[in-house]
Amino acid sequence: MMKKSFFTIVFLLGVVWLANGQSRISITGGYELGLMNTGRVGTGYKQNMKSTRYVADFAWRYNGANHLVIEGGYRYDSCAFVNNVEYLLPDESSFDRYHTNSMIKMKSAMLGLAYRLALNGENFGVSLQSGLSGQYIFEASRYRLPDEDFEYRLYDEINSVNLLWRTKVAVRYNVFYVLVGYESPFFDTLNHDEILKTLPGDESNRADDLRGVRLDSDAFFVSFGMRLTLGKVYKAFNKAVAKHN
Amino acid sequence: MITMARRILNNRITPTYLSSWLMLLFFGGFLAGCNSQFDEKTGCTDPRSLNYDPDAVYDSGECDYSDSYRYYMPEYWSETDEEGNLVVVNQTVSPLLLYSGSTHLRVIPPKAEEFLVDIPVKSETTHLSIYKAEDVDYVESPPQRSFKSWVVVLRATDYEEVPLGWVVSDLVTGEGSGSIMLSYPHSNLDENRLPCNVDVYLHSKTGGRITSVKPGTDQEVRIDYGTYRLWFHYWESDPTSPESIQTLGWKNTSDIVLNANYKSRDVLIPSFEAVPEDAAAIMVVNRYGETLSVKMGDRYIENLVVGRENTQGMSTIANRDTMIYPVTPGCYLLNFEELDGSQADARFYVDLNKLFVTRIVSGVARKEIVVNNQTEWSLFLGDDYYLGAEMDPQQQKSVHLPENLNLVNVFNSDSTFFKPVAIVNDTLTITE
Repeated sequence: MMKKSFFTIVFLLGVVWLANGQSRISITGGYELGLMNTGRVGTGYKQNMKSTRYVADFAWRYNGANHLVIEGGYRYDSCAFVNNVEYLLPDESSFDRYHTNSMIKMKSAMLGLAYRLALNGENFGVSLQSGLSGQYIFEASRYRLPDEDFEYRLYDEINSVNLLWRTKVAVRYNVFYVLVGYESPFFDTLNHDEILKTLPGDESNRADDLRGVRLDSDAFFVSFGMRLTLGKVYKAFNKAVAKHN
Repeated sequence: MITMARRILNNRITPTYLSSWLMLLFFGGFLAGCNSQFDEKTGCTDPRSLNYDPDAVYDSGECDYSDSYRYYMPEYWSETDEEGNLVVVNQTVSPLLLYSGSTHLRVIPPKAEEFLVDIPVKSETTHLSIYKAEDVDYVESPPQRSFKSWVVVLRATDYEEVPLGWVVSDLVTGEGSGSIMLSYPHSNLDENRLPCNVDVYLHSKTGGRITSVKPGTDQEVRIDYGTYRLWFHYWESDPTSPESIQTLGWKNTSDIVLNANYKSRDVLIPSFEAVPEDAAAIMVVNRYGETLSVKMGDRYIENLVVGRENTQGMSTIANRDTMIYPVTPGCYLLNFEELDGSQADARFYVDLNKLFVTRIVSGVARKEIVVNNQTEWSLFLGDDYYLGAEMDPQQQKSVHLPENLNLVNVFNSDSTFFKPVAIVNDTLTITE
């Protein structure tokens, strides 16, 4: 308890020192809602992906309008997909059809480094930010639709680590901001090498109807939240204390 | 390195500096886009499909399977038509794809008997082709070489018209096939012949049924080159029996050879004569060149016929005609006379047995053969038919057999003994 308190105090003192001396640190917290663009799936496949994130970043204004940003957050993705495909059974005795109506849900953490170009006035500001983020998926599960009944956890079928290139354009008014972003993943979240090892209809492969699902598509997202500059917070805090005294 | 980084970080914002950062952003986005979008292909991921893409990572759901897979599935087989102008008998184990010209018509199931097809007739001749399902990848574009083909004059489906038959087997390699022209003339009750239907079977009584023929109709059956024996199954409709038909009996042809030289054969389906139980049947074929009278000893054969009310004039056989007489089994002296009473052929004895139809051809030179049966069996001598010569065990006797017969089939009553034996120096020695 003592240890935790000690580190908390040191951290707060550090933040206060930086904010007071240079006014170069800002903190952003926000909510992102992403929609994935899923082109190039087959005619029998349909999928839609929604991504919800709770993000925060620390930005260090090192020179003029230039900032280095460390951003991170918690992310919750859900991808609903419908497959309607005819296929040949492994024993080649007859044809069968997929009629899959399912959903994949994933929980993951993101942490990344970005460059931000921010032009700030007193109340208004605009910024352009771009950078690389890592994503670690710590849970992925398959659900049936429409009732979202749990079906099974995904293990080998998932690539747990991914890299994303994220670009955002933001408009700030006072401490509130809205932004639109564009996100390109480097890899697919689904491990298709594993999924393609067996033919559809083979009992040993429970994930055979994920063959056409692709989770590597670009995403657009919108975000809104608050962005606080620590120097201003410090001054406002001092003012409030002085007024109180 | 550190100095360089510091320089970059300390740079003020200038158009050049800004544009270089923007280029970096776009380059990063492009790099990510390249990785995820363009390198990894969407395509068919099933190696058994025709459009399998080994580079595809994402399945497109658009696998295009060969029709040869598809047409091995019963759900893709066609139903036989209710009326039609062609009957296909598929004796192969493959589904067959039938085309008229380049138009795909039907998928004929494997081992299908009498698959009736109504083929639209557009020109005087129709080019029919058959492919095995496993040879066809796309049904719209079959390979150049068909399994069987037939250019045929087809008539539009007509209830009165008997459809053409096409027997398809893979016993014979190659496309060579010929025709058997079956004709089954009307019979009438005065001749004591039954107007029954005939099913025609190939090779044996349990071989594939190739067609059904009604009295008074002709039918052409397309069949691969080869050697065949046709079996005729005579039957009547009988609503009281469980099978709703009553079998009257069987007859068969001798071997029919179809080859490049003999592409077509005419086969006359013989009428079926009812033979009373316990009677022996003797079939007399007149090859003498004149009309003959048949006598058993001194009596006309019509007086010995059993089981028929009216036998008047039955002893007379026109040239090239055939008659069957049911008579009491026994040994008879067979005698042929011309109409003026003169002797026409050598007299000889025949042993008539109710187990077999005895076939005697008049007008054929005969010679006396000494037969020595050294077995413990009662044996019968014949060619394709029983020739009216019966041998007791360990018996030696002389019989009259056709002069051109060199190889005699020797058999016992239940066919547990069957042996072709050659005649050597007018002697036939039968051993076990």
